[in-house]
Amino acid sequence: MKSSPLFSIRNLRFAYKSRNVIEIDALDLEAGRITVFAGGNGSGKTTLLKLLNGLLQPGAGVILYRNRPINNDDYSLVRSESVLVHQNPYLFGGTVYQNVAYGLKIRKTPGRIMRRKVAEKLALLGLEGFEHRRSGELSIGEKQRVAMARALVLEPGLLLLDEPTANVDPGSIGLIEALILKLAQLGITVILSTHNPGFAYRLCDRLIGLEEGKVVPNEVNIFKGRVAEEDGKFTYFQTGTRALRCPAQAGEFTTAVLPLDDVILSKARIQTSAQNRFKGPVKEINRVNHMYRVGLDCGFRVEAYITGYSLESLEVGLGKEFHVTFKASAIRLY
Amino acid sequence: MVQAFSRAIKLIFSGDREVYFIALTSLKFAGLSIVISSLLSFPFGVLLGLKDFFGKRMVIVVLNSLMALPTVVIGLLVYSFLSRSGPLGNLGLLFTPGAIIIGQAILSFPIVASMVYGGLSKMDRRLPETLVTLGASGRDIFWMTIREAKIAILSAVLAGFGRVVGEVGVSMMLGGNIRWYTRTITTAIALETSKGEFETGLALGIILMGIAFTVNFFLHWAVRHEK
Repeated sequence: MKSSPLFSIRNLRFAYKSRNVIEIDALDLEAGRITVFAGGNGSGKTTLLKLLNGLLQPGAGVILYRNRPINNDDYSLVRSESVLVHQNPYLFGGTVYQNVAYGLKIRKTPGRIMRRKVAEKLALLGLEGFEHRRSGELSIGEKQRVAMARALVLEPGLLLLDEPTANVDPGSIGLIEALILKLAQLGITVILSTHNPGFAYRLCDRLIGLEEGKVVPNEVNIFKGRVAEEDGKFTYFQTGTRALRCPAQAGEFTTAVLPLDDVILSKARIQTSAQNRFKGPVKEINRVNHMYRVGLDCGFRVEAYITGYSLESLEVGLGKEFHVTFKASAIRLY
Repeated sequence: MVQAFSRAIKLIFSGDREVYFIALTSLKFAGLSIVISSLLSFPFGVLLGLKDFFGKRMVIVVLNSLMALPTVVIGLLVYSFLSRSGPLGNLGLLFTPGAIIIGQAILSFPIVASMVYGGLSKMDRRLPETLVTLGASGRDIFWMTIREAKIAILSAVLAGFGRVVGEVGVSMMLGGNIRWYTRTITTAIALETSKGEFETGLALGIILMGIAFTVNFFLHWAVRHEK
């Protein structure tokens, strides 16, 4: 039986000064996963996160959290289980310890437990010895990490992160990325926004594109895996039971990205310079605007865009075997 | 001038009883008036800063206008209430320390309220959102906002103190400049200067400047320490 989603969004509208910034007809978000909202400035990522946290109220429509609507009358459940960390977090005046301990203090946590929990979270964020540092003396990256420690010390089941790597130094990005993956492994649901594609691809269990407040179809295949081999000609990226040929490059890559437009679907194997050829049954066909999105199981899940004409002429149907072909150079490793 | 200045310094360090009595009287009146004023103006400023209500803009305009009210006008208004024929004449407060404290409290009210409002209204908008998302109640948000605005609030109180400790109109009109009773630094300076006693006037002026310097130094230290 399919479990009910953590969030169900239906006919959601939100406007700033009569300009619609969020228009989502239907969207479900699952628990226990890393969901990434990706989009440029003004795409509505921050507004959507604030709506999910109950900081903003929908102009129209409904957001259900564990099947209960989030509204002025009842946002206690989502508030008690989640914490939102802002893009440019606000730290209170005073020390790092006072900042991190704040949520525990208002919950009247005993001092000994509070000190232990704060120390644990500071260590988790690589901030040992920062307890007595004043918040005004910290770098942007350090502030971001303190804000995350302040959120994590409350042990939330849901963490909402708005652009966690914006303006952050490269060293802190790696640390934040590793931390988010670790939190997900611990069963914490993470919903974050970013405009950094590499960060989004590496972290996401599910990527949701936003443009002008609307959910837009994801235009890429995202393969999770690892580099299996590198022979000077190609880097072999293992995903599912298959290895993809990618341009030769060194690195600890965990994600391969392939645009849907670069995948060719054919009934028979075709002879081209393309280095990746696989075969598998069609598992899913979805109409997206004037195109069709066809999903195949080739030992790994791969999707291709085809026109209605191709769908008919190739007689594409569920369960039928097809070949997919794509160039090594079409793949980006992250 | 140099001679008068050196005599003034000698007067300060000689421990002249009257000079120190006048200085302490000024501090006492200003201190008490600012405490009373703050008890009223602080909640008023907080109300303006954190709540929206009908007519708020008009209240702010009136408050800002009152900041520029001349001290003699306040003195005159309070005088009309406290004089023997006035509605509060039977209290017998005119030409007593109480009258000066009432006048100075009225004088500092719009300054403290307006600056507290200004400080709170300029608070970072991320603060309430951050507090809400960390699970803070309305009460927690109120106290944390006050805590975060403490420098602005301290500035407001010290600005009010600076205003009343240096005013002459209220003290002169409501206190009567009575020796060993209601004579303050500013009324004494006015008197001594009119008598041609520049040294005493200058000595009191130096003390007044010292108070102003100390207040500003304390504020500057608090701001630096807060960062």
